[in-house]
Amino acid sequence: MVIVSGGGGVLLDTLALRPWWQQHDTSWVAVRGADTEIALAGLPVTWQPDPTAWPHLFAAAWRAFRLLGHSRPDVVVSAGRRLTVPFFVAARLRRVPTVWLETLTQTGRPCGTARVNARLARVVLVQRPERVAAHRDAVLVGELY
Amino acid sequence: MAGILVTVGMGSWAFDRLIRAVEPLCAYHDVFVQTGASPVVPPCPHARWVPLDEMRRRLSDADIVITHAGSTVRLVQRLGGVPIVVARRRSLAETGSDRQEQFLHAEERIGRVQAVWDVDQLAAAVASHAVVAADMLESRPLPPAVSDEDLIATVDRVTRRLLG
Repeated sequence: MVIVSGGGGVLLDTLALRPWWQQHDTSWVAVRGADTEIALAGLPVTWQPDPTAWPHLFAAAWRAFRLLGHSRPDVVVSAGRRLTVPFFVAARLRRVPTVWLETLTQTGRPCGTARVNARLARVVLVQRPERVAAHRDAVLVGELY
Repeated sequence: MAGILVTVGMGSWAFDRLIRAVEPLCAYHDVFVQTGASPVVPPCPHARWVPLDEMRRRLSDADIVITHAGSTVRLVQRLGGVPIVVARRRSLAETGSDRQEQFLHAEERIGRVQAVWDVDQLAAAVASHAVVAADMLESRPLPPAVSDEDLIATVDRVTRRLLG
């Protein structure tokens, strides 16, 4: 597995999947931050810059394409936002299935990168029953924390 | 005097409105502010970024948590608390979406939050917090979190389907 994560709530969500991902051969791609550096210490992490503008996404997608070519994961999982977009695009090109974890705080129609990631993902994991109908292929996982 | 933790999350958007609104509280309470991307410097102990473990400890130790409408809301609730929550507004360039406002509206209807929509009311919310929190803890149940076993079973089922 490759897990893509930023900081803050996104990191909380991906860390909350620990009972699942610790059973698998997992590596991380993350944005450096005060929380990610400490929370992911000791785990195999590839640090990537946060693509803060759309032009940066092209370079990020190329880096993601190369990284996924080296690591050849079975699945890419993310709860993230901007950094997730290039990884989900690259995963599509590599024919690697993707799972996007929707944050508990999403109660309305996703917009921006959240909507892009939800559409790029093969499956969206949602934390509230009423969110199942919000996506093409959603699976209720329940509240993670 | 209450121990108050203020947190605005780890994201790249500044939340100056909340940091400024907290300033008057510093004279009367023991306040720590996690300021995030905001350039505003409050007149009380503060740090831009706080590691997750330290944040969990601070959340647990605080008498009152004032937070943006992010994932911290549920962390505080799971610790048995009722957070005072101020949503970032897209119209004020405090975030890029309406997600926090929608989340706070939803939580305000049925959840354990003390929502503050006008930051001028923040001091009043702190003053009434004990009474409001006691009532909410009594009357509003918290949805359970998924068990480890169910989490593993669900995600394994999803990945098996994806891998054929």
